Amino acid sequence: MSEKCYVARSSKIAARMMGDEMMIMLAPESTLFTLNEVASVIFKAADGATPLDEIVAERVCSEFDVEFEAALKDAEHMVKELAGHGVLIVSDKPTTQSRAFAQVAR
Amino acid sequence: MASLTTVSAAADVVIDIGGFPIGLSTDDPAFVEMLKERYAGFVTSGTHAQIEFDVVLAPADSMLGNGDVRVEREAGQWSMGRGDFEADWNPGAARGVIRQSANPYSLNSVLRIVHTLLLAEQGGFLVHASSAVRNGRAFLFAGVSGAGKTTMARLAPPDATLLTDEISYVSRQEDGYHAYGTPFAGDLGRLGENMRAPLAALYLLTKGTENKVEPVSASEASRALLENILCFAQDSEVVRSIFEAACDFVCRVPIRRLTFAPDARVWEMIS
Amino acid sequence: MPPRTEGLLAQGHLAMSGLGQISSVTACRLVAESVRKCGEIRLRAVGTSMVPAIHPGDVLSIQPINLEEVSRGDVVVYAREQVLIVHRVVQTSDDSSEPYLVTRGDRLRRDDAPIPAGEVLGRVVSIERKNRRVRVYPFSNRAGQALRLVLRRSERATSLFLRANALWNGLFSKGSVWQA
Repeated sequence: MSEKCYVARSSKIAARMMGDEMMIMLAPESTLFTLNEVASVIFKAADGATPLDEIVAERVCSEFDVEFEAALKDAEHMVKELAGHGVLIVSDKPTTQSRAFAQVAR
Repeated sequence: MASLTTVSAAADVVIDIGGFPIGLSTDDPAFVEMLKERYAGFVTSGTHAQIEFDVVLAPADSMLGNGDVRVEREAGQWSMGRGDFEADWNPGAARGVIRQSANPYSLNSVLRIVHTLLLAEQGGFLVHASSAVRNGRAFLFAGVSGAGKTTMARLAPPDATLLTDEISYVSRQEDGYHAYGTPFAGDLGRLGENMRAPLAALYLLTKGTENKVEPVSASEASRALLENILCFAQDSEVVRSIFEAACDFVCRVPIRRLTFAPDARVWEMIS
Repeated sequence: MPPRTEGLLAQGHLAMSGLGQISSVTACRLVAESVRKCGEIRLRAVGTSMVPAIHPGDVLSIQPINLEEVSRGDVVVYAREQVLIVHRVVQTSDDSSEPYLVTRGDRLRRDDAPIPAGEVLGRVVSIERKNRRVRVYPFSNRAGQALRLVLRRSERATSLFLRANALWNGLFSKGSVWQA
């Protein structure tokens, strides 16, 4: 993955934080995803304007107390997986197009 | 059955489910009588239909059911089909055409599909669940085939009114969610009562050796609900609407897990 | 016999509960009761089998959980042969009559023996490390679970029936068995 990597939420999804899990519906295939804790943090921070390494440094490392290099490697893998499914869009340039999601607790 | 000649007048039947009356016009009076009998309790006369479908009947062996349903939208028009029927619906004009042989199953499928699309627009949905009304409130029992939906319906006490033992109709209205009776029956083989009631709770069914009710997390409730919701359309907007509808529902309606042994005492736990 | 794992809450390490040196059997029973009654307890971890998610010395907050709510990836506490084990769920069972879980330490190569529902004491919900609250890091770098929803079951069943019916060249009649 390139030095600077920007991630944005795809417009083809609907997402909701239900309790403590991020649930994502990929339309029109109607595939449901539930993200793990780190993927949820990345997904929520994927505004298209913040580079992935910053998201990892400021959100993942601080929330989980893990080393930056290992966390970045995991994050890159997760982002690639989610991009492969069409949940995230990866770019080497910032973008303003990132789908909003609702956070409604039960 | 051969179509009658154009000398006969077109016959009408209006089937009202969930407060959405759908009118069906066809040249075959015998087919109309069959529908009136099949959907008795949901057939209304003198009601202005919200959508009018022309039903064009083909010879019995010319259309054979096979494979998955196809439901697609192009330029605002819905097109749906399977081996045993083809249908087009223009929501803007509130008109459509259904092509099928003279059997009740194809039309039943079309009605389910159309209602899922109508409900998706307003935050409601159809769901694999039995439902019944007791003390003026509706209770849903959701689960896959064999989970016990029909059993719960069979075990219902005399003061409970059956809405359906197979496909529940959940409509979102200003004052909350309501469940409607439907003619979509399962193994019980009888239509539900054509009535509605405010929705009190949804139970996720699990078979067991004792009766117990347990809370369910929001994420588990959403997953279970989405696994049981009917959605035929390969359309991003509809899928998104149904997802949002399910999540909203989970946030607003109590959802519990009901483990039950197949005896009538399980209904003592429903409140 | 479970592997001789690290990541155990062993005898004498229940410092947070103020119990000091007590027998393992009593300790396990006390933990089970405390989780059920109080809703949450805190215990200190030893061992490295769950690094980087759990470090030695971490204080774990544990809450009770119904087995149906446990997902793959959750870190749970259970008792086995009078010791408390904190490992990650790698498999949940589909068998509702005899539900069980399978767990494994993140750094270990083999799964633990299956755990019956009644032996699960709770789930780790947060970790305190160096006076700071941290979240439980997932084991693998997989983003999560993907579930394909089966949304057209009833229509498929209807279509198969219809095909069979059409083959018999029968029309709807009162005596026929039909599914809506």
